[in-house]
Amino acid sequence: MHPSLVDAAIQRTRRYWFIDGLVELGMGLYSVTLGILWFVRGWVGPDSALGLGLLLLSALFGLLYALLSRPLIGWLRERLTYPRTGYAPPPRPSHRDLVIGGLVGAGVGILLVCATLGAVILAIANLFQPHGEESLRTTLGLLKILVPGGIGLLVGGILAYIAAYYKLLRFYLLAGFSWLVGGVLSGLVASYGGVTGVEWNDAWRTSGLAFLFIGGALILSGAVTLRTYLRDNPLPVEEPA
Amino acid sequence: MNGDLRQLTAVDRVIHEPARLLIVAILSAAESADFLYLLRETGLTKGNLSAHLARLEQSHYVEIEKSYRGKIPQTRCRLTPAGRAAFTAYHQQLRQLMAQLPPGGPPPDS
Repeated sequence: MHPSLVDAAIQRTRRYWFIDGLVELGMGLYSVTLGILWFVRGWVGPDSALGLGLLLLSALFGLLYALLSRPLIGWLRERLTYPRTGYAPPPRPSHRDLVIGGLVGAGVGILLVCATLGAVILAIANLFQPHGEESLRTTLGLLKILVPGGIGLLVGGILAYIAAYYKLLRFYLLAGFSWLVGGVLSGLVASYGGVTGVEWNDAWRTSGLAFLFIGGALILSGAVTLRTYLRDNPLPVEEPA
Repeated sequence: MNGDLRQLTAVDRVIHEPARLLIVAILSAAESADFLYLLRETGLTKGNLSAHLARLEQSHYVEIEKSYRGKIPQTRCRLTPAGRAAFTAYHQQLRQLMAQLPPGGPPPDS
């Protein structure tokens, strides 16, 4: 047997983990919830007590998603997928995988914090230059405009990675949609308020909208995939032992 | 025959059989898999699949766990560390052999 046929069998098994659309539904529900929380935060004011509470709630929800999404999807699969097309769950992540995942996550987080801090420090340093205050407003304005674009870029990057690793066309489409949503929302914010006219409220609202649109697309894709899967794979007639 | 190609005679014959190779390749990607999944993916008959799984279990490459879900019997198969190592070695060996072949297939016998 040619090695590429062996690789194809391995790849097919890996793609099975996305056959029912439950992963997209989970990601979509998380994204929509985050979108609602961020949008409301922009609406009530990020500096208000409620705004701070919503930020903490979104962090808590992220933690819950990280901890519960895998067992919850597994529980649903035990009832929907495995009785229809068989049991073949992904391998449990090894300690090495967890360490690498944690390091990559921490690296991305540190990079984002450094980029934000760097921009703010640069802007504050500019304060001591002629027209410094204007420069600070411009830098912060640019940051506010770029936030929804950054969200689209980051989520689209994750979806594109899944698409490339598992060779799933619909994830390429979702990645493209995320990039488009990020770009359009950043463009809209820029055209609405200009570089210096954007408030933090606008940035939170448009970031919330970015998550809402991307989450909506994920839920739609997951629902269509699940519906097609359930239609094409009826529950087999049980043959008692 | 090229000296390196003689390695072909040294491949693991338990895994080399196409149906068993397919089973082991599938199991290498998942945590474990049940009989229904293997049946659908390999296209083998129930009897054939059982026979190949028994052979893999006999070679300590696969662990088989039988249980019931209500009244439905469930057979879950998992690759053992020995099975995983044997599959990795076989896969590597196969790749090396394929890499040694000239483009367009093996040369004709002189």
